[in-house]
Formats: sequence, structure tokens, C-alpha cells
Amino acid sequence: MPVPPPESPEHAALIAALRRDAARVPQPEFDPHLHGAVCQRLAALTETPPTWWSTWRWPAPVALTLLLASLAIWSSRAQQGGAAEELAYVLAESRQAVTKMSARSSAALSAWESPTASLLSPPRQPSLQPTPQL
Amino acid sequence: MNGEMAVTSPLTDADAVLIARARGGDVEAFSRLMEEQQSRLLGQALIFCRDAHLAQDLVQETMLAAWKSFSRFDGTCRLFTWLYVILLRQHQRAQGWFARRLPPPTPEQTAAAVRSALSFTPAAAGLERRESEQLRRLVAQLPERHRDVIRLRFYAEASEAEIAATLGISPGTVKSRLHYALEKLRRIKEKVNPLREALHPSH
Repeated sequence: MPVPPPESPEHAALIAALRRDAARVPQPEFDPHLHGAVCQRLAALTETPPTWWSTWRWPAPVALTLLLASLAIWSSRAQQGGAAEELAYVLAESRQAVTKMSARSSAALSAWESPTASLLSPPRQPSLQPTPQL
Repeated sequence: MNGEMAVTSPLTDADAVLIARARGGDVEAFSRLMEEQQSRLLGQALIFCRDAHLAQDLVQETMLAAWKSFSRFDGTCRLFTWLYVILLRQHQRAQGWFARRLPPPTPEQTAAAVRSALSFTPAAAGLERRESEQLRRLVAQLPERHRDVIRLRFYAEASEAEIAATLGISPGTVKSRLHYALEKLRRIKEKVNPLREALHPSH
């Protein structure tokens, strides 16, 4: 079904009223404050948004340097600590060995341990009592 | 109507240069264009908002939204028509925001609003004002698709081709919507007028 033209005679009065009303729409004077506010917001919009790189531009290298430095210090300390532990172990072992040696040297040897111990003991007369015959 | 002529040459040379610069991201060019359109937009916003501060906010939001989507303005319609559609959308969005947050009006409040709209104003200017008030209120009662074409056609003075371009519909659809919108408006007006006569029999 064809649609009748919008501005048909039956709508003429209404259209005239709408046009009269459109002509009565106020046109306020230019508002510089409003324009300024729009420009400010536009400027804020067009500013380059902070990217991750611009945010971390300076802190990132500093943090990286600090991290590397602390890694290096930790690594050297760890190496030093390992050497010290090894040295301490060797020293402890040596001390134990020395202690053992000194303890042996100071203690009297058991008679059975010395092959010449019998020579040092004074001679004895053989006993006249007959030894029991088994 | 101005809009009919605007189809063939919707933009002046100076505007075309400014628009081209603004589309390339030139804020200064864009702000100069907005400077030219501000008064007219503010006048229309005052009709929607009925409050100067709200109207200013609406114009600000419209201009910022226009900046964000300015690359989509292809010059097939006048800049004001394009901005007017954004103004309409921003106003609808704001209304939706308030509608979601405020309770619906009570029957007493609605009746008071009708009485206020139809209230008698004795001065000659008051008659015109009353006609405008009534007409705008009736237009506001139309469904969105009809309201938009009425406002664009008569208040933004856009041609049917411009309306079709800005709303993304065919010129035939524009004609049809315009016809049905006017028909609805006429019927609503006929219903309201006897009520006004009953309320104010002497006028």
C-alpha cells in the first residue's frame, strides 16, 4: 500500500504549528564558559594516554638494576658461604685427626702392644716350684 | 525548507576545510566548528532539559561524543543535523539513566504535570508559549522512532535525505515514519484539545 506523502493537507495545520514552534526555539548567546569547558575536556581526551612504557620508563631500569645488583651480591655471598663451609669441614676434620693423634701419643701403650715391653721389665728368677703337669 | 537545499551542498568550503582538519584529529578545528554550532545546539538542549545547567551538560556530552566519532561524519548531511542526532541520543541516554534510578511518577504527579502544561497564561506571548508547551509535550509522547523524525524534520530542519543518512534508514522509510508520526500527533492533539476546553471553557 503506498504511503501518502507526509505533508498531506490533513496535516497542514499541525505542520504549520510545528514550524511555528521550531521558530520559537531560543538561540542563546555564545557561552564562552561552556566552550572553555568543552575545550578543556577535549584537551584531556586528546592527551596521550599513559602507556605502560611511559609509566615504567624510569622505575623499570632502576628496579632492574637493583634486582641484578642484589642477585650478584647474593650469588657472591652464596659462593663465599660454600667455601667457608668447606673450609670449616676440613678444619674440623683436621682438628679431629690432631686430637686423635695427640691422645694416642700421650697415652701409655699397652704392654701387649709393645714388642720390647718385656725387655724393659726387670729380670726375674725362675721359680723353683714345679709347674703342674697337665 | 533549508534542509532540502542542504542535500546538494550541505557544507560550505570553510566548513569543509575545518571538517577535514578535525577528522584528521585537529582539536582546534573541531572546537571552532563547535563554537559555530553551540548556540543552536544549546537552544535545542534547553527544549529537552528545561534547565540551563542540564542543557549545558547535554551540549558538552554531545560535543565530546561528536569528537570521539567524528571520523564517521562523512559530510552527507549538515553538521548540525549530525550533531542533533547525537544530542537526541545523549538526551535519551540521560533520560534512561534517570528512569532507572528514580521511581516512576505517581498518578497525582502526572495529573499535576498535565494541568501545568494546559494551564492558562493570559498574555499574548503566553498563548504562543502554551502552544509550544503543548506541542512539545505531545511530541515527547510519540514512540522514539516517530519522535526522532519529527524533531529532525521540523526542529533540526533536516531534509528527508539527511534524516535517512543520519538514521541509517531508506528515504522511503523516512517518508512513511513521518506520515505515521504526524498522524499519531494529530490524533493525540485531538484527544487533548477537548480536555483543555473542558478545563478552561472560556479559552
